Amino acid sequence: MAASWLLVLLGAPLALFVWAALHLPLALEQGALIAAAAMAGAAALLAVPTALALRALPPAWRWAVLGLALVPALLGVPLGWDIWAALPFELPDAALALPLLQALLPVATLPVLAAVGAAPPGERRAAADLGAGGWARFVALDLPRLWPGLLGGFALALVMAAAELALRLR
Amino acid sequence: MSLLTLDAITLPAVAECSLSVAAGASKKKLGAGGAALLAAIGGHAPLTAGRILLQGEDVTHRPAERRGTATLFGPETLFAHLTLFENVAFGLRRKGGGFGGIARRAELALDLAGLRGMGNRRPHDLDREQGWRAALARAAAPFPDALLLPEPPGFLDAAIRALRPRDGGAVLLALSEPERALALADRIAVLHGGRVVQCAAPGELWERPLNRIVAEMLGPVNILAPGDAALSAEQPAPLYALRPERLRLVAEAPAVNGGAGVVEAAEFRGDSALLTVRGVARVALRVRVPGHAVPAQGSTVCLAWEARALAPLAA
Repeated sequence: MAASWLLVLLGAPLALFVWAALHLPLALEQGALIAAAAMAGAAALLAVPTALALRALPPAWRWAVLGLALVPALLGVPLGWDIWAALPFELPDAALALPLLQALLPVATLPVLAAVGAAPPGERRAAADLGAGGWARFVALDLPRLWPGLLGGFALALVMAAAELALRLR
Repeated sequence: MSLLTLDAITLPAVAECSLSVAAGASKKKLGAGGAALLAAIGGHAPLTAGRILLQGEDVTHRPAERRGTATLFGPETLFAHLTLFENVAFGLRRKGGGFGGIARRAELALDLAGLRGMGNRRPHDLDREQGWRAALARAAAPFPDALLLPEPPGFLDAAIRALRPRDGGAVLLALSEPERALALADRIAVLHGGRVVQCAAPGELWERPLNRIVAEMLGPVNILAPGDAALSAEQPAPLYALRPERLRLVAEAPAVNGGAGVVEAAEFRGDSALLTVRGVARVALRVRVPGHAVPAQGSTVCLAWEARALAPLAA
């Protein structure tokens, strides 16, 4: 049951892409996939301090602030690029990465915040009580919990970045 | 030099509390506000006023992680992603020391807490009692200067005795059950209305309570005014405390410090029974008798007590 569902979920789109690669003029831009992975990695790493900063806010505010930060992502990266290009001063080409990063960061922060926010509150107090300062608490308590969120954030950001950068129908 | 000094500290639940704890002492704080006081000593609650000195150093504004105190928190605060051994070793690692030493002390702490051989378990594999034991082992393992135990559950008492630092440290408990405080502590500070009313050794506190509040808080007691019965005390006082075990059943009622009365009720407690006897004094008297010789309800008994059994109380 589960296996056949997974076959439909994963197999059908994959088969479609294989067919597309063979029959349609798909173009993989030079280095674009690598650039997408690099952008996703940067977004996932930046998501950690972002999530920790959000966690310092009162619980009701965390998701509201993150929701506001998602607006650039919701409006779409192409719009960001257009706005960037319309700015009344010259920007170096590398600065073109910024609108993308701006859209990726809040998306990557979503799973990271969900992961660090799950820590039981008394745990931090107990760790401080046993002599663990801020950095030691981060390494001992937050980091082990962060991994799943970090991977999820990277995956989300990679999907988004690859969609923007990598593949186009010519 | 005392290990811990509280200098007129004020908290939302505590008013100008001053205390001093000697190294090696096991001190109990009885009554409301004790847990709040321990939170302040551990650095988990801000003071409104006053100073806290630990080993002679002012730690009033030091964060919890640099105080040298350890607090017992509930089992829900155990580090869920670590094994029990790693939980207990957490504080030891922060203090440093070789891996062998840390492992030995963590194993010892688990043993003494009653969790022998369970170092590889995870917190979610434990029942609630085992969780408390693990939390106690985690707090006590690094031999803190002050081990702070706010309202520990009763089943931990034996483990608390076993884990108590042998030298240099002190255990501070906040308890609301007087029997446990009397059994566990070297000294007891009785808190009432956010103030320390009396601070003394358990025996002294039991025999010579300062006032009615302390006398009644510790356990069953008869409070007698000079006019309530024919009293002859060693020193004049507005009130006397007479513990139930100091009253004896005698064959003939004496003229003073005793009399004949009727057993109104008997509370059987196994090793002893607590009688309520009416007629000897203006108030009903509580009398402790051996559990194997409880007079029948409604029978007449003669009571007597010694003059020195009457503990004078401040009004």
